[in-house]
Amino acid sequence: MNDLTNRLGLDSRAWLRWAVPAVLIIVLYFVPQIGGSGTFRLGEYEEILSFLIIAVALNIAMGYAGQYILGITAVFAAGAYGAILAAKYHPHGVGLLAMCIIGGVVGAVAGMIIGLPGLRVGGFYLALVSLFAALAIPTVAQQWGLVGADTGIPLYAVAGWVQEISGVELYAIVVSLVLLAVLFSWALVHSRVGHRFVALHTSRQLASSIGIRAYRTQLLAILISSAMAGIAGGIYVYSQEFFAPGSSSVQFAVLLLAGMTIGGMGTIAGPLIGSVIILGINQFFTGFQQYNGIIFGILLLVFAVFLPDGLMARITVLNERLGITPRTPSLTSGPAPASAESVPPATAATAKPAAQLPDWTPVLGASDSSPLVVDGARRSFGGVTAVDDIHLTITRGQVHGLIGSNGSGKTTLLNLISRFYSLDAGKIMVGSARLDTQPPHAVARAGIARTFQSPKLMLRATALENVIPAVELRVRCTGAESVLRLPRGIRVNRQARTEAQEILEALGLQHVIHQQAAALPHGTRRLVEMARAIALRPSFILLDEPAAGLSPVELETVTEVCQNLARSGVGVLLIEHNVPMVLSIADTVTCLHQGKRLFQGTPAELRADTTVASVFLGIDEPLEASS
Amino acid sequence: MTLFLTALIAGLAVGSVYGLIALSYTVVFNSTSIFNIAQGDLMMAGVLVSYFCLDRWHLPQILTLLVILGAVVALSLLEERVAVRPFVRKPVTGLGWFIATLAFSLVLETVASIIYGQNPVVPIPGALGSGTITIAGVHVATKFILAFVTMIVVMVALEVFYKRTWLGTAMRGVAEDREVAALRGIDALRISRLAFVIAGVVTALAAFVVAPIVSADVSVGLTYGLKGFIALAAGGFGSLRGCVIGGLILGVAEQMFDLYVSSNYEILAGLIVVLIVLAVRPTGLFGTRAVREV
Amino acid sequence: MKTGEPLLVVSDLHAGYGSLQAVAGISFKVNEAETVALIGRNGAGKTTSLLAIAGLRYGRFPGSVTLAGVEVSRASSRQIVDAGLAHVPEGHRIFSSLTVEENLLLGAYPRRRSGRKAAAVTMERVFDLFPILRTYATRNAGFLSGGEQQMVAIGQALMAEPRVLMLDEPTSGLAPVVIRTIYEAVSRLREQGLAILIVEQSVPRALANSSRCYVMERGQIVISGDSPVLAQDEHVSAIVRGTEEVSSPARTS
Repeated sequence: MNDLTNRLGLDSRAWLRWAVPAVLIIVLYFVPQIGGSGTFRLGEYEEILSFLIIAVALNIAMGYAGQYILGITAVFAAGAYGAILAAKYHPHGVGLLAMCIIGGVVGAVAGMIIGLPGLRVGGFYLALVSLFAALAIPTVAQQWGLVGADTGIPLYAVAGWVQEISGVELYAIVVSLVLLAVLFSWALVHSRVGHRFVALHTSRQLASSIGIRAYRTQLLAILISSAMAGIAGGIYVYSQEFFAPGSSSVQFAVLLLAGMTIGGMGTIAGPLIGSVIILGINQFFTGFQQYNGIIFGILLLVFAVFLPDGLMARITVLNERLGITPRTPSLTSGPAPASAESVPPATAATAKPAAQLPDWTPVLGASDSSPLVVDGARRSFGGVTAVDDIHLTITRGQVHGLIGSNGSGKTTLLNLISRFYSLDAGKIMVGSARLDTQPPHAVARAGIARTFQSPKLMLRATALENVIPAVELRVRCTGAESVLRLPRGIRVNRQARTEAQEILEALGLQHVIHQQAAALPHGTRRLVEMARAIALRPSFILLDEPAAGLSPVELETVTEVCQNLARSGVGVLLIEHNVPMVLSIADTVTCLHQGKRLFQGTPAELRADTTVASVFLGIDEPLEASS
Repeated sequence: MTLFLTALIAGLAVGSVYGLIALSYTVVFNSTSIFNIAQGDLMMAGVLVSYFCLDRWHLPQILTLLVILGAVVALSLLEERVAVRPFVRKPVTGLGWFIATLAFSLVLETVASIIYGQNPVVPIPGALGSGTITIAGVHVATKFILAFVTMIVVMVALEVFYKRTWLGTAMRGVAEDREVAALRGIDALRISRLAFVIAGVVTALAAFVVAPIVSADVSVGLTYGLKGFIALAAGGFGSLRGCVIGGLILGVAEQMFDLYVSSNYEILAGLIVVLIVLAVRPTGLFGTRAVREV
Repeated sequence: MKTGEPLLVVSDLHAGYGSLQAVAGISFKVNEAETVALIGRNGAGKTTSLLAIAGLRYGRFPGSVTLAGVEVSRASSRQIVDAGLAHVPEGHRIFSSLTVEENLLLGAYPRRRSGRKAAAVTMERVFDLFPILRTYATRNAGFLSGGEQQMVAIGQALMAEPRVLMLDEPTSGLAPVVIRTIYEAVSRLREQGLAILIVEQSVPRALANSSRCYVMERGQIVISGDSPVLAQDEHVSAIVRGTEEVSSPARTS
């Protein structure tokens, strides 16, 4: 398509992206004028709006951070009770703001109580324990006199409490609060905190390998969403002037979950769209309330099975088709070429790295210049000794190759160094600091980066968004500064973006920077993962079979990257099956066989060593016929 | 003292129901790594059927049991087809399977409340009548004994099935490594379906023995489902003995809470049990396997 | 027993994962009472080929697989086992929570109609082949060493009384004496008439234990021939070690 027309066409439809939500927001403010502004009506609108805040909260925890706090309605109820009790006993002091604050605090505490115990065990437990809490709350509340038992607490009957803001004014404020919540969630998701959430959701191992503390991040996600749900409780109480256990909190939780699933988790607009649909159906079908469950159940089932990414996924595709959002060209999805010559230039990372060599001088762990020493490492699994008394030194500024056949212990060793496994015996140190007693994220923070045998990327994010979290480990500001876009936060966000981009460009990946990782072919994914590891500016980098499945051009890139890393002063551990590649760039080579060290020396020595040649090729017993 | 004993016995009886539900979970879970949250609602459907059979149509107990078995197994297979099979083949991709089973439970519950209405289910005469026998000076209702004995029998039967029969061994194999099982010619899909049939049978038995013990309304499906989960959490996922022990612990804890704290807040007992278990021994007493990661 | 009729015939097989086509059209055959080796670098497509043949198909691609004359290209893995093919994947994968006996018993699952006694007879033959398993019969398979687990895996496959046996790197990571035991067993099986296809990482070992050999590179077969002849060819080792690139079409020698 003609470039100019394309651009024009794009511009004239791109504004739709902003126009539609803007119009919706304006309409939202005028709903009372359109749909009726009687007290009862306004109360209904405000109820739905409060629930939307809960949906936003749940989306942060579940959709982004992967924390399945299904029973968030229990937290909402806790916040609501907190707010209403405060108002009941201090009617003169508690207005909307106070209720929000109290609700938020109580909600956060409730969320912690529900969430903390299950953290160690796994997300699934969190889902069920929180559901059980959602079950328990109304049952308990119905019996408890303090909270009004069955009848609840009518705030309008409390002497001295006045709803100072009311009517259309209150409605407008509630709408604004919802918009604030949405804006906050958007800002959060696109901040360093949000990046940590998504990394954690994708894979705990991935997160640890770029220095993210998994538990803290989980807790933060639960805390934030619980506080928001609690605030929603405060708003609800203020607007309805009443709170009672009401119908099942679990049913409500299921409704919310339905809204999230239908709309699409992990996007900002999805849960809003889905919740409005669900709540709308619920309101509309009040006459047929008893059939609601069937409708919702079937809807939920259909979506879970056929449209797990929800409506938003369809809308996104539609947007691209209509040209409202620029189409992200997906790279080749056809069969991989069988030989080097047939690789079309546009579909591979063909651009050679910049003529000017990038500077990757270590930043993390650079205060010490000692090598990384593996001393007598041993590790068994079941009855099998995977790694047996291995001694190995990775010197800064040098490439150390690690070769050996399948099952020789190479990857296990890497996992031991990066602390995904623990040692049975031995030590791993950098200088005087011991690595083998630290958690994996600490090892990353100490300046030891790694890649994985099978690339672990955040598939929904772009290549750039995959590399940014690694940069954010060293380019620091507080979470709040990043989320709230305070001056330092903006500066740091931008700096992280720029640096991440530079590294991707240095690896020849400039044309995939804004492409979704899911659309990238295998070789490119490997390179993106390497970029992420380099982005830590580590002192040591552990590469697990980086060349597997790469085209010759990509292989060249990897080779040059390794050499450049060494030149910059980084210690490189290169695990590879591609022996010629290793021999061409390594300063030292270690060969493992059945968990033991078979050889250690220079490439020249390796070539001359007949034992290695024979064992490595397998001529090691009389059974072999001499050829 | 008698109060304590009475509570203990009632706890063991109710706990047996939780144990049976936990056993059903384990059967499904051991073959598919899926936790079927609808199990409690399947039981509730069975209770409803037993009500119709005994209270409305006055069918004999044996026939009732057969009807319940048929109904619950049919529903169980339906669920497998509709809400579980699409996910069993896929690798772990998040919440999908959980939402699907939750959705199924929602539909079940709604249909049940439409058919039955909102009134509490009247206690139904037990299979062994409403008599009591006396053990160590304490009157024990025969329906309690039936519940307990049923649970033990089911547990033993399952252990024998898994250890001694070819099919049971195959199910254990499929649970561990589907690909190797497939390469050896074991049809994993059929095995999953069978797991649902067996779970359905166990759940039907649970419905049959719980109906005379507890009068509850139609919406308790999820409550039982979640309590079954607590029993599993306490006893340990993947272990049959864990199911039994966990169920009994929960049942007794509830009755003790009723007796010494307050019967209004009985549900808190469950919450307390699960929080303690998670804090002290997260994998449960006899835990062996991990649930498919959500 | 002399080499007989072709029991496994693969023709223009393709297979892949999503966008990656790992196997781009290979053809070969394995005859009765014959051991054939399949070698090549990591990532050449050997494992994917075997998995595709065994019915764990990756994608819908053209090509055909015939077992003893029966077309099985679209068959399920269960049907392929019934047709007489058993595949032992790499990594000595067995059911580690089950005992050795239970593992072997599950291998006979497709033939369970014939009853336990028949299975016991077959199990005896497996114990004859790997005597050490008899001593471990009631032990949990998870506690055995890698080599012993590999024997269980092979034994499990044999319980279905296959006519074609495929082994993916059966000796990788194992001690020399275990490697010898396994290859001796393979030799005995060949003598009993099985058609055996072995993927091996070690070139000399592969050539020493097979009568014919195929070399794969980037999803295609680039060299094929009789093993003694290929053993003299330096190109073969070089290709597998990766010190030589292959751009010429498949050669046979």
